[in-house]
Amino acid sequence: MRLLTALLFLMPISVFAGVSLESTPYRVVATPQEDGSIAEEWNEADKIAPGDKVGYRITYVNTGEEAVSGVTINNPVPENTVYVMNSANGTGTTISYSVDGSQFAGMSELKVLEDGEIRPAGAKDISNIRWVLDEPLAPSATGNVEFQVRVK
Amino acid sequence: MKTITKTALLAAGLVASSATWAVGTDAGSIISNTATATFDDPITGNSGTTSADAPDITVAELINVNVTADDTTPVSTQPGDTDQVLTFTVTNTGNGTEAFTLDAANLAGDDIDADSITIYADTDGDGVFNPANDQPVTADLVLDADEDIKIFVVGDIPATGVTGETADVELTATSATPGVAGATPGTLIPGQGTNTPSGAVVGTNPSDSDTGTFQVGVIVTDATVEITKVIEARVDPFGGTTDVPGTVVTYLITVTAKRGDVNNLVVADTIPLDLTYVANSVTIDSATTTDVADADAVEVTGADVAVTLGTVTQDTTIEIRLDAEIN
Repeated sequence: MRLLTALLFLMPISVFAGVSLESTPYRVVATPQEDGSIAEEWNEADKIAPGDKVGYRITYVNTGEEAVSGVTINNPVPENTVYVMNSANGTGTTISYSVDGSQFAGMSELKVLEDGEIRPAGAKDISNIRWVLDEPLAPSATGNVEFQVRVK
Repeated sequence: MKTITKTALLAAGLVASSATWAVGTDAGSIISNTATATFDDPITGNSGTTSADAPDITVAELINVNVTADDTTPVSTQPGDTDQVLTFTVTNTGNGTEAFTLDAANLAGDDIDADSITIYADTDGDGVFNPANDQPVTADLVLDADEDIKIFVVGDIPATGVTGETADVELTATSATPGVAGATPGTLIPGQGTNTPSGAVVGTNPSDSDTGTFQVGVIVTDATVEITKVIEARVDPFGGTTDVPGTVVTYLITVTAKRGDVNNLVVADTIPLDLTYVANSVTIDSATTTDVADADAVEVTGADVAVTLGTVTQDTTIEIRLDAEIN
């Protein structure tokens, strides 16, 4: 009984060790600039139609009081969408991809077996994106990673 | 060898299933997205997990249409020909059910104009204009996503046309959704659209058109006969219109002399094997006849029907009807 009491006493402390995520969709629009270049604007996701690009920005934060290591974010490519090549990024992370959700590798190393032929994976083959934080996440530290998909 | 060890193999069928790009995700489909993080819990030493759902996105209706003229070369006609046909295909290339307004008009810059232009839909779905079955388009055309329909633009060729002259006729299909006209692609039209809470989005082609061409061919001076045959009515044994044994089918054969009088005209028809001719059922312009060889124009031998019309003057149309029963 004494042991159980001790355990219960300890538990609230462990709750403070944690990572919290928030994911927000945006409508990504290529907007011509005055200097002739084209910039991507991330607007409110209010009128998404086939062919449109949707950008997801995932914000992570260490909500605990201890540094957290081994933070890995995994996001499956949503149904009815296709990953936009080279759109995944995240400062201080190493990004890898998967075509089956279980094996991850760099884009150039992924292969797909189709009709008996092995070929390099393309954007449409990507099923998951994974970001691994390079450094432990300090208490209250935050950052974000993002990627884009195109609505089929 | 590193490549091989990291190679993730995907079943061929999974790849093939993702190849549905043609018309796009259906309007109203939901796009859900969940991110998951795993981490090493510094206190317990165990692995922790957390996840976050992004707000769902409902795919909006994207309004697009395509019109294509099916005739790749001009349709050859004769001066004075009536009910000449240009064939078009109208396809809803958007991702939701949409109504389209059709318009057909003579174009400038050609030689002659077609008269009495009427738009027909391929109501019976056989791809061929058939005035008995295909209906004139009098309202907006409603097509599901990716649905297409043949449209016939039917007109008369002026009697004054000469060989080589052309008449260009343009068919235009325009989304009937209010607010689409004049809107730039990408415009959101609130309150409109199929299964779309946010509204419909104007695509790159909310209106499309294509042009078909009639051309007056080498003038044919010889008289000819135009003949058509359709099923005009069905009466089944129960008073309905199904095709079952005992159903009586009424055929309508229409014969017209063109570009002159024709002589010694005989119309022959053989009743198909699975039908039995109904005795004495042939009428000529609604006048009854008998099957035996006699003064009237009709003689029936077994399944062979012969109607001797003799001389028919130019532009005269004769209607022959006969009944047959499904065996």
